[in-house]
Amino acid sequence: MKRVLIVDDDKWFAESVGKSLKHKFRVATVGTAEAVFPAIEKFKPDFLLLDLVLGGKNAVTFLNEFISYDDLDGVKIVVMSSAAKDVLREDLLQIGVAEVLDKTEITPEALCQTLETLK
Amino acid sequence: MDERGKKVFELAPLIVAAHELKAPLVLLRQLSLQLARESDPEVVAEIAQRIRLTSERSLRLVNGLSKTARLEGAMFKLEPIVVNNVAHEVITELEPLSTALGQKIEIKTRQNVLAIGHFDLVRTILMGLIDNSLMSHKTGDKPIEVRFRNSGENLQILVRDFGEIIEASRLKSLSSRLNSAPTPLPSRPNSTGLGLFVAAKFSEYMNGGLSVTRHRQGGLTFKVTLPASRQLSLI
Repeated sequence: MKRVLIVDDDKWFAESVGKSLKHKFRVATVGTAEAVFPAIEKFKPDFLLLDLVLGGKNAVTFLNEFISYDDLDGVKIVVMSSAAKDVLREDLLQIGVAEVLDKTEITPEALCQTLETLK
Repeated sequence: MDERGKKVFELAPLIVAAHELKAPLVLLRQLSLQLARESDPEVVAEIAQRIRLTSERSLRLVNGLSKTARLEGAMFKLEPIVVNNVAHEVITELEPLSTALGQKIEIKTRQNVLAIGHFDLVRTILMGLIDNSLMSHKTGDKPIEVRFRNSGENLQILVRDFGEIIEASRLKSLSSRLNSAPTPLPSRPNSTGLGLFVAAKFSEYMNGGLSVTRHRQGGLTFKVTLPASRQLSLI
């Protein structure tokens, strides 16, 4: 079973998304960008489901740091944010993000399908 | 500033308000999607409670915002109010939310503290500040603290949390904008700049003000200053 690490400061949102993925993926959640790297070491995710608006370090700073580590090449980043329409999808894809999803429109089925396509 | 710049500046509060209201709406949508697929009665009850608490939180934001529009018409009569009683009422109302988030709130006073203000406005201020702290407070042993400081002339209401610390430069910029436009708190995406904007407007209306300080150990204290009531000695 592939593993998904959800990075979202909204605990209830992360829990809810996690539950909708649990029948097809192993899921863990963290609430800040700072908590991601220790969680990667421990959980070894295949996917990072990343919100763009986070506490502490912002997601862009985090993304730049993430892509600078070559040992994390195998972890696919899917950005899922309510600000998805306000950011340039192409810019995110260009720096290595695998997919950009809109929190205001995505359904559990579509999310599962996206992750399965990226496997 | 050119015409386009002015237009963007005028629209900024609206954009922030829209963005801030988007977060609870996105959560409500997600919870309802989860609810539709859930059959375990215990989980269904938990989701229903989260939907209710999130809706109530959003309604508080909208209600506070709509009240700011009525400030212009001076519809709120200022009179002596017992602020610690207002705080107790707010904490009781927020108890389901704080419990669901695993947070505690403590009032640190043994005596009545009075200020000249409007019950509803002070209530909305405290609701906004404590809600803001609840959303950014790190769950742990330390509770969110509500304290009061009476200098004779003024009464200070202090709401202290232990959430993310923010950089000094950002705090300075936030402090200077608190009263002019809803400003999202840097490093605290879940906290509401809208609630702080409303709190600042209401404090100013009651001849007071709102300020914020940070702590080296982490967290912020929001300070509301209101004129103290001389009736204190009569109670």
